Amino acid sequence: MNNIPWIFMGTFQNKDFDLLLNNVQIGIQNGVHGFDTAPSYKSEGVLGIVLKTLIEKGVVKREDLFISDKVDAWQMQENNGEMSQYVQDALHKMHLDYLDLVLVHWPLPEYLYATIRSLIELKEKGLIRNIGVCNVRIGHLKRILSNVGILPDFIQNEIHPLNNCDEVVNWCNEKNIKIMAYSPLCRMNKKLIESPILQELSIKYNKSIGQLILRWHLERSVMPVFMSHNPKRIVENTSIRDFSLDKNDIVRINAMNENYKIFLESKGCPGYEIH
Amino acid sequence: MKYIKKMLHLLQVITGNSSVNKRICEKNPGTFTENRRNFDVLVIGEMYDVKDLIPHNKTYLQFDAPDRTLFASFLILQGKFSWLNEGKGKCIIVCKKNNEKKKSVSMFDIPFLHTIIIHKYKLKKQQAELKFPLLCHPLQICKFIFGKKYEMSFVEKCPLPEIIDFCAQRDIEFEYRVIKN
Repeated sequence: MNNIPWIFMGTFQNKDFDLLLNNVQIGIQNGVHGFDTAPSYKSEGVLGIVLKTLIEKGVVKREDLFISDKVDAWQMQENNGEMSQYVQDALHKMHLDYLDLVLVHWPLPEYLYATIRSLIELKEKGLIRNIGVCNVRIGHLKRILSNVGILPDFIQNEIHPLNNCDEVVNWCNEKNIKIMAYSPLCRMNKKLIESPILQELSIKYNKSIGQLILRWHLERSVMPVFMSHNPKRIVENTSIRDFSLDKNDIVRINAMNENYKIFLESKGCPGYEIH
Repeated sequence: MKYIKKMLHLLQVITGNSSVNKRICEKNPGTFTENRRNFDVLVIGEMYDVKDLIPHNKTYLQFDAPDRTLFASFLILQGKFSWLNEGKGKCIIVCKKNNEKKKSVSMFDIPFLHTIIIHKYKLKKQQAELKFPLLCHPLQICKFIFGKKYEMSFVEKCPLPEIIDFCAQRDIEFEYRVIKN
């Protein structure tokens, strides 16, 4: 696994071909090779065409890209965890022979283990290369291990300074599970923009608050999944590898945690288990 | 099909069902329209005046509807409990005595339920009724819009132990209140 991205571009509800083509190209030019989608984002098809276009133009090679998709709750329920048809449909829609990563979007207890077993089969067939789960706690991961016999290769949670997920981040880092952060900037919540700590650090490092936070993720070995329609913002978000944060500043940002989540777990996963 | 959908929508609007539907659905807080999180209390169930239930300094959300069954309140709780401050939140379910044992879900419950739950319990009829609520349940709509909220209830042991277990497993303080007929 030597093409693991350091950062991902998300494509939530991004269905405009021209806009996505431009943004993905700028992303690639600035070191992004990870792209994330999901059936519920309605962007699988257009992302597929964008990537096909860029591959055909010689802008990027398939083997240098890392494409992550998801299986949604309705799919898990509709077919009792059997994912083969959905993944093959996604591959067809996206003009791909394989997906680098497929994540279970929500850990619905009734279907989770069957879904992961199905993804393991698809991994053995070469249709997917990595398996992941989104929106998880340590308890989910331990139960996956005891029920299915494996730990996922990746997790993807909502992580940002107001919801630092310290426990699960540390646990996954110990177990070598890769961590992706969606909403990595908490949609630039007012509390972050107005934070005296972040404003002070912004001056210290001569970086924007967004850049500081994205760098904070990297320092914790977390891969942010950012989304932007603004080319300048894409360039800004990817200009974070030329500095590093002092340990004390990382601790100060960690301490901003309020367990504030934009996407509530029970809303996406009724009966969500917190332990 | 598109034409039929458009005609149905027009019918909804003309008959006033559209605005009633909106009124029912807007009680469900949206991810991006409601920025507050980590509430102290969640009140679910019957139409109830909570002013004496919740101290002034506590934040709360209330999901209430006329004649909501205990069963439906539980389904709603399963999808809404994350609005609470984890480890420090409280859920109060309020129910009329004669709705404790009914295993039914009404159109009022639909906006609060995940599609997984709607599918699991086969609630297509209630989904359809929600599109024409005034036509389907005019009396309930009157209660919903004009009805007085109950003010007296009694704390009792919840007759559905699965709700008690559910809350315990998620560190939610739980209180069950009954409105006696």
